[in-house]
Amino acid sequence: MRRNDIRQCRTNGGIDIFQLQIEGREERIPCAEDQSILDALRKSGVHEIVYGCLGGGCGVCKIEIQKGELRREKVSREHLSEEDAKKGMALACKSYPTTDLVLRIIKNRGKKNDN
Amino acid sequence: MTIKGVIRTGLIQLRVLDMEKSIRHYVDIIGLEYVGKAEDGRVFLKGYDEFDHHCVALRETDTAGMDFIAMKVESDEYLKEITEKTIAFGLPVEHIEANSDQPGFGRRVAVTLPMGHRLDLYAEVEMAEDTPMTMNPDIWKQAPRGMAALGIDHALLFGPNVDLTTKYFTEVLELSITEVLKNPENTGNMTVWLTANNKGHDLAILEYPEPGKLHHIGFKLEDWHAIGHAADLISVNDVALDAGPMRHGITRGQTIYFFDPSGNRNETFAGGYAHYPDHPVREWDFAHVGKGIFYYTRELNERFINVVS
Repeated sequence: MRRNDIRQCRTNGGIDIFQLQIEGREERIPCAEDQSILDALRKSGVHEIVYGCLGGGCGVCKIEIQKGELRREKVSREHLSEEDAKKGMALACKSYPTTDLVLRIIKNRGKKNDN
Repeated sequence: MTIKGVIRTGLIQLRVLDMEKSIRHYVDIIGLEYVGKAEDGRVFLKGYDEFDHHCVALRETDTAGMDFIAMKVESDEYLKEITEKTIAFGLPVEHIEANSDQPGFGRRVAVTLPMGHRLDLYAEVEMAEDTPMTMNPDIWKQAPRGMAALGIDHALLFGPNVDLTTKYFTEVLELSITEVLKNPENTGNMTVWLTANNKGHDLAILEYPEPGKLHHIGFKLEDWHAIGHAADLISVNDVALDAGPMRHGITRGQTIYFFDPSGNRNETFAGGYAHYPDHPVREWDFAHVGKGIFYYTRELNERFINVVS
C-alpha cells in the first residue's frame, strides 16, 4: 500500500482535527492530531513562524501554548529546557495537538533557550 | 606521497535525539554503511568507498550537535610533534587511549579549539572489515544505497575566535587556506576555508558568537547526477531541505543542504576544484557572499545563517 493510501485511510477512519488560534487573531487553523503545529501553520500561510531543521534540534520554531494540550516529541534540551516546557513552551515542528489550542509565536533565531 | 602532516578529516561524532530515525537517515537515505554498535549504544558508520574503520559515530542524547571532529595525520611521530606545538601554542589537549571509545582507532589527541570545538588528531586507524577492492578493483562490490555517499568530506564549524583558530590551523597543523570571506566591515575574515590536501576544504570556520557549533557535515557524492538523485530522495522521504540542488561559488562544489532527524545539517557535496599548495587564496568581499555560497540564486536564506546545532 502506498503511503498516500495509508494517509487517506486514516483520514477516512476518523482522525481528529483540532483548531489552532494565534493569540489576538480570530482565524482558526485546522491541525490534524498527527500533523505538526508548524506544518499546519505554514500550510495555512502563517509565515511569521520561521522553520529550521524540522527535527527539534535548532529551536527557531518556538511557540508558547496559552490554552490547550499537546503531544510532544523529543527535542533538544539546549533549545527547550524542561522548565520552559512546563511553562508551556514548545517547538512547533515536534508538537501535535490533542485539544484545540491558543498559541503565541516566539520570535527567535535559534539561540540557546532564547525567548 | 607528497601530502604530509595532517592528511584529511576522517571522523565526526554527532549527537542525535533518536537513534532509530538517525540510522534510517544516515544508512538508508544517505547510504552510509552500518559498521557496528558500542555497548553504550553509539553507532558507527562508514562510506562505501572508504577504507577506514568508520567515519561517523552517532550518540543518542537530549541535544543535537557535534561532540568532536577528527583529522588523520601521517604518523605517530608527527602526532607527537604537533601535540607539543599545540601545547606551546596554548591550547588545552587531552589524551585518549587507542581502541577506547572509538573501536579501530589508535590513540587520539583531543585539542580544544579557540572556537570551542573539540578537534581530535590521530595517526592510526584500522581498515574496515569491508573495504573497497584493491586488486583489479570494481567500482563497488554491491550497488550503493540511497544517496550513495562515498564518505566524509568536510565540515563547517561556527564559533568565536576565527582569527586565532586560523592561526592554529595554518601555523601548527600547516593546513592551507583555499578561500576567505571578508567580514562586512572588510577588516578581517568572517569565514576561512582550510584544506589538508587537494580538496577545496577539509574544514571551514565562521565567526559566530556561540562557541562549539556545527553548521554542517559534508558527505562526498560522485557527481551532479548523484546530487540530482539525492534531491529526489530528499523529497520522496520528506527530509527537511535547507537549500539546493545548487553550486557554490566558493570551492565550486555542487551541493544540497538538508537536515538529519535531530536537526544536524548535512551536505551532499560533489565536484569542486583541485587545490594545489602553490595556488593563491581566493577572496570574497561581503557584498558577494550570496554568489559565493549559492552561485545560482546569489542570495543566502536566513535559515542557512541562523540554524546551527
